[in-house]
Amino acid sequence: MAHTSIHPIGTWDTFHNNGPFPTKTLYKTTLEEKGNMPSDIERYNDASVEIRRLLKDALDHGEGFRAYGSAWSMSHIAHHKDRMHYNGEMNIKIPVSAEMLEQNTSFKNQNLYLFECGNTIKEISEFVFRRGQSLKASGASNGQTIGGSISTGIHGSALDFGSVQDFVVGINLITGPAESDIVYLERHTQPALNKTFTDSIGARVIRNDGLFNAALVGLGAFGFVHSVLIETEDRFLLNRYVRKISKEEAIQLAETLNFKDSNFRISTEVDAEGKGNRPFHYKVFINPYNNDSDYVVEVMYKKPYREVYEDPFPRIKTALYKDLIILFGKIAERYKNSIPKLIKLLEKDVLPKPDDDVTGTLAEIFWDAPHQGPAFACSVGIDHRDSGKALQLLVKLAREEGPIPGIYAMRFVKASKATLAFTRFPVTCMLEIDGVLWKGNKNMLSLEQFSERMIDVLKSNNIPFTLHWGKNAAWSYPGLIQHMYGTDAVKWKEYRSALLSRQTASLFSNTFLEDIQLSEYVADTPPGLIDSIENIPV
Amino acid sequence: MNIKKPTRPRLLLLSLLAALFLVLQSCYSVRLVNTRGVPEPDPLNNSSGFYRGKKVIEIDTTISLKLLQSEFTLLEKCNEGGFHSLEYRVTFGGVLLSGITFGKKRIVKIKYVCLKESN
Repeated sequence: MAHTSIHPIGTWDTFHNNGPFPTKTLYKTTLEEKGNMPSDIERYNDASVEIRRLLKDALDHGEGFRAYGSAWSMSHIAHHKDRMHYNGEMNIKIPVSAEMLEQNTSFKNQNLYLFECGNTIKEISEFVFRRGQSLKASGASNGQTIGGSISTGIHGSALDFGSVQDFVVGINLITGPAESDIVYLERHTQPALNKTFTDSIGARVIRNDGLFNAALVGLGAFGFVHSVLIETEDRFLLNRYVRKISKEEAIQLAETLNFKDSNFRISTEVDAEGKGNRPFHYKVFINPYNNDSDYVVEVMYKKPYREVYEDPFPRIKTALYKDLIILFGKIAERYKNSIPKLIKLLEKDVLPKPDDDVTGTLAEIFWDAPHQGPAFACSVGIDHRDSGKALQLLVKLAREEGPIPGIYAMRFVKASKATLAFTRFPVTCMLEIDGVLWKGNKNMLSLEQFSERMIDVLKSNNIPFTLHWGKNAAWSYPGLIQHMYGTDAVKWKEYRSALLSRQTASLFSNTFLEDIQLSEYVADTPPGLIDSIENIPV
Repeated sequence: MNIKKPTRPRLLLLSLLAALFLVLQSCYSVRLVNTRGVPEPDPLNNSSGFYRGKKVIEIDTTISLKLLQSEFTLLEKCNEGGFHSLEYRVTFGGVLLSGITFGKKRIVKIKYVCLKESN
């Protein structure tokens, strides 16, 4: 039997030290040993039974329950004051066989895998790589669990693909303690797995595009994400280049994404007419306190996989003194005018080295990111056409009302179909500010104040925006969710309410959901809203 | 209160002892990390830096060898995948102890992390 250890922890913290947050109890579930239960499906179902038991216990005690994996989110999205469930050890991996496929599916079984929630991006990448496959995109690193990744919408900078949730084609949720609370969701326009398989995991199948898209970036509020079915592609390589280019050129590329007609080009990455190829990934790094005429940019081009290429890993990887980061924060708090100089000092350790070209797989390029001390990150999503204007405004904010101890970057991601994806513009520019966590004082703006001012500035300049669910923001800002998502936020609440009972909706809520005003239970949802719509593949 | 001023030789001795103390504390570590594989997690490990969130096993012992023995192997158990990372610490005291005992006493300070069990 899967078993769960119980730890009365008192406080819980994120990986990046954004807490601590008061928490009564941490639960950690470990799967039955493979030798005792060799069948993956049997162990998977055994884990479902255990999760349902834990949900019943939480309900019986009138307490909330929130699952989390790697705790990488910097916001309080993963936190619950009552019961937190660590699921990082729930990592069953099931390659889909031809017998598991729905008859009229458009998917190939070789590209489909069912991953239990606690598998990390790195685990998944390595597992599929051994089968000649690759993820289609990932975040900037690889430590997030798949359950957490899709619930918060992690993204890289895949201009023409999207975020991690965009390669998910099925979601297995546990919405409560009853056997009938095991549900498997797919889009009705993209069915994938057949009844024989879904029966084997005891799941009630709902094929419904609206419900699927709402639950996809579910913020942990649609139930316990037990597993996801993902679509992979043939493995590929990325040629990564780092260059210094003029600010004007970097911003023009950000606003137009027109690499063909740009003066910027990598000599080996051009078409037959000598025009620039469209990259897989584009990122701009900005030191807001630097008056240099250039920005550092990172571009990556997708190439067919080959076995022989130079090892992309450096032989030696150094790290800054652990206490240096804390010291940096303390100096910044006390002497705010030192921030630009401190950033300049660390620039070489933080920014990628120009002209340092490497080739590697997606998993090799977006590799491990170790803990480097207390960190913050704010990230706003805007239409890429607004990126130049938004950058100018937010740099001005940091310069005039700050400084704050962080540097800016811009990444670009294709729109997601998820109802509450923050990558909701045709191509979203994720404008992010990363840095050392600091406390405000009478002389210096706090992170909370800075986050609020970011929203003020974007609103007052009529720039539509979203906020990364897993990063720091002023989540209690009045009318924020309505401003960012409009009717989509209402739709999301309706789908959630139709899927859950009032009691289980409360079980899967937390302070984050209340702060953002998404915890409301809608009693009178439209009839038939979450009915399964039978196989209409497009 | 009448506090005696340390005499010059005593001051020298104190300085030497302080220097020796510092030298004995001087040490460095070497960490070897597998670029492949995922470390075994430990959500209760809230330490800062590389080991945060990882399940760490520490060995801090002194191995004594017999007259005819020249080397030893430490046997440790990891999951099927093996080791994710290993860090050994070299201390001046350890080098000194090994030197004065002709290699018969060896201080071992190791931290390691296993690979996460694959399911």
